[in-house]
Amino acid sequence: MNPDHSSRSYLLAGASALTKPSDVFQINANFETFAHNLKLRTIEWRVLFAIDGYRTVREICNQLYLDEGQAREIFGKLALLNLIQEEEISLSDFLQRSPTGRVGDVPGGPALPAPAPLPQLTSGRPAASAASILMVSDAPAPASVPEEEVSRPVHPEAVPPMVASAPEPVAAVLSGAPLAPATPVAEAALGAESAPAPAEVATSAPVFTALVPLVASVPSAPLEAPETAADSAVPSARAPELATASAEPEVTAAPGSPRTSPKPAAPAAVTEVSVVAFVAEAVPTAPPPHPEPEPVALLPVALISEPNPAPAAETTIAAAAEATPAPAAEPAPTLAADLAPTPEPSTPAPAPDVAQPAAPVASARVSAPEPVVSAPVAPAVPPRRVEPLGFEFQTLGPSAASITPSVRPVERTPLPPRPPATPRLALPPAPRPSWLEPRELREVPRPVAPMSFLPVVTPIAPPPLPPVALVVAPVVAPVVAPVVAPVVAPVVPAAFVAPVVPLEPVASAALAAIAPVPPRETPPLEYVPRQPVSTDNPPAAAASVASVKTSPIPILPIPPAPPVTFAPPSPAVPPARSTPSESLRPAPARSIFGEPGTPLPPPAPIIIPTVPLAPIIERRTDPDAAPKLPAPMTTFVTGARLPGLPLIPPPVRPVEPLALPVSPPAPEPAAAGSPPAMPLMRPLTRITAPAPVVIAPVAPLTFHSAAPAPAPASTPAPSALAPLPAPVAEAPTPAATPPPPLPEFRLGAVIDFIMKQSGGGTLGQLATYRILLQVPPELLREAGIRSLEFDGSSDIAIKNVELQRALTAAVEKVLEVTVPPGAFLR
Amino acid sequence: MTEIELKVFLDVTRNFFEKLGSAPVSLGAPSLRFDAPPLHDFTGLIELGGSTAGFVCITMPRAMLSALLLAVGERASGDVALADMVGEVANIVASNARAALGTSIEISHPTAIMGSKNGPMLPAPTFITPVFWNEHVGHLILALESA
Repeated sequence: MNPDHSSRSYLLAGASALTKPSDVFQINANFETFAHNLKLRTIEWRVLFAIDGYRTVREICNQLYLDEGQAREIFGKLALLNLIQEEEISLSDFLQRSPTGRVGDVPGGPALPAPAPLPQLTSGRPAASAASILMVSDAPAPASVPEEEVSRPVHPEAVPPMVASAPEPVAAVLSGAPLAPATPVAEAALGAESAPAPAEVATSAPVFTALVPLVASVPSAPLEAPETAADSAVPSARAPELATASAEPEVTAAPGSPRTSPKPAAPAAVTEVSVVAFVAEAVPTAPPPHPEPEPVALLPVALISEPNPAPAAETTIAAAAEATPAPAAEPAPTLAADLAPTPEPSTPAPAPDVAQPAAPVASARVSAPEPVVSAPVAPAVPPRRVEPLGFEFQTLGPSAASITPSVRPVERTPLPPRPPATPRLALPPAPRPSWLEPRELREVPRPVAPMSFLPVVTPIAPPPLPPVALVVAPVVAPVVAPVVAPVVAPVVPAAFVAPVVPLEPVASAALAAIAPVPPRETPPLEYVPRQPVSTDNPPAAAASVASVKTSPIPILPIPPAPPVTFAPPSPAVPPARSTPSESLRPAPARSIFGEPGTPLPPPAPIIIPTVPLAPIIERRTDPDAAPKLPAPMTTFVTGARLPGLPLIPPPVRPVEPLALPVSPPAPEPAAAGSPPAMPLMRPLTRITAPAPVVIAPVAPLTFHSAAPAPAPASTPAPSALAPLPAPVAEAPTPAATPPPPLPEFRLGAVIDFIMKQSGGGTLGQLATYRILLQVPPELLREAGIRSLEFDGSSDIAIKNVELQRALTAAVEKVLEVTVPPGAFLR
Repeated sequence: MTEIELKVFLDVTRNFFEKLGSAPVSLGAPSLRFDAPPLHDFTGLIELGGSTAGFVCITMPRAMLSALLLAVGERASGDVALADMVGEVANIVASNARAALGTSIEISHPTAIMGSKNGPMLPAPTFITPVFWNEHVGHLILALESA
């Protein structure tokens, strides 16, 4: 950035020549882009930061105590480096850059005599809220204000036309700092807090918002500023924006003057940009040429963007300004003093030679009494983003080590102290449940009925064991018992010795103790989804296939009859417990002697009905219809029947009156396989009306007149010993015609009838199928009908009248015709 | 279920084999059996419900099913494939019959039965119709409880 030395002199000379004392420079908008690469002298940096776009070169020179030559050189160099430039600005920009301070804002300004009291711009509100300088009113000035002070000429360049026409107080307010010192806005806003300010200085003490903070004027003593983490951050690109967007200039302080509140001329919606800076109080290496206040360096550290503050913040400022009036005798009313976090604003500034940690300076909205300097902190302000401002201050002089800034860039709202933990109530230990306590194995004596002749072995273990009877003869029982009992007790706890008595009453009691077996209910048949079944395992396949329509019924296992030894019931013997669940269980009496005393009767007969293994086909659609397959009930009879169990009637088939034909019935064909037995419990259904009796015509008997005696109807068998009668020659009898065969009920006739009625063919065959579906299959099987072919080979005679009736009824029902008599006879 | 409705099963079975196109099909003379019908190697069983309850079975020998698999483009000839095929045939027959008979008839999923020794307990009598196809003989069995 530094120009070449050869051409530098000429350019610098030219630039310096062009610099006029009345010029107003401002920092280039692109300053931040190359700020870090700049190499400037200290005085040049000071000049650079003194440029605020508002003050003239002369004012800056006066502030920095520069002579004309230095000023021309520095300004020319800065202009040559394109760091500063002079440009025309708008009114709003001008107003934004308007000085907020008063005459004495610039430290080290020329000590001018205090001006006369200025006309006061009174506010409609009390002084506490008068900080909102937007509420400037044009009330008439107090009478104490000299008229000549009000009418002082203002800067001709700074008076906007629009302001010129306004009333003087208002015009003075709106004209801003460049006006005559008689119209400092802050002073008018603050009313009585006026301070003398020379006209020349009044317009030279603004703070270039946040970008160019106040730099103490230490001409010969370079101010040393530390580099903090925030300082060394990258330069912020917001600096130019800050100059224009910040509607609220920095609080400036002047010696002996109260703090002033900035006058935001910009719209209220401007985002406030606060600057957290450090105020370091450094000791100049050389005494200043003038007795001047303590040098203060305001080091911008970071920008804190925050929402637009509430208007009340300004009130806070005003209140703070009132609460912390800077005493006139205060030697160094610096920013640090104004915005010191110390709660007591009247604390005098420290000695110049004492390095003191500077208090961070925040924006203008910081109220002084607040211990922490920051922007107006609302209770619910979200965390703010800290952006580095991008200013680096080089270490200036050997006193750098003495500067100990207090880095507090961001205020953090302290969390409320955590309340002390409430001590928990010490609950008494819960009583331990009894079931958790270790159990004590106690021997619980069982109540045992006293026995008359034998001691009872007390069971040791709680679980009851079946009693064991030590069966002995009654005679030897008193002798054997004392000897056997101690021996048997460890082995069979529940043993006792009982004399043997006749068993009849015992058996009766045992049988009576057995509860009758309740009739079991057949579980409902359910449909079971079928799966492919392999025939590799025929039983499993059969069971799976049978599950299509059936449901297997569990079969109760038949326990083998154990050897039972009965003991006589004795009043000394405890009654046997009989529970319903154990009713079927035989008493596990054992004989330790290996042989019973007396021969036992046969075991008690128990009938346990079971169901057949074959599944039962369920008829779901026609529950009234008889099942297709019989369901024989197999019984395992081991003896007498239990009471309560229904007896199974013997398979008795209903005897029906049969109309026997006159002719002897033809012998039934021998079936290849005998038909299965009829179901025992299955009633015969579908018994229709009795079949018509077919009486075959009987041939009339003929009698021969020549016969000596009428021949008996039934000729007795000729005896082999009796002589044969002699034939009658004169009266030969005609030969008797053989009787025609009686017509039979033929199955072929039925099929033919069906085929004829249904049209034959497939329909006739299906009609036959439908008709035969109506006939009980048992009858068909009894008749030896295993299959039926439609080719005429199944023409058999049906002898069973019931089957005949069933066939006739089925035909009439399915075909809805009336079968004429003899239609199925052939 | 009338004769005409029962005939639907026969027609559907014939149509199925006719649609294969590989060989002519014919239905032989039916017969009624009052005992357990004979079964072939594989049997597809479908239960009918609704107004007409019963079973529809198609039983075919292994060779016939293998020929069927080849006819439909299947290369597999294992038992699983054959069982699937016979079940598929039964399903097609029953489904088409249902389509012809309407919603009054309910059809279950087909069940394939492998083996001829242990057949299902079918209600008697059964209407057995031989199916001649591609030099093989299968049987269509109608085992209805009532019709």
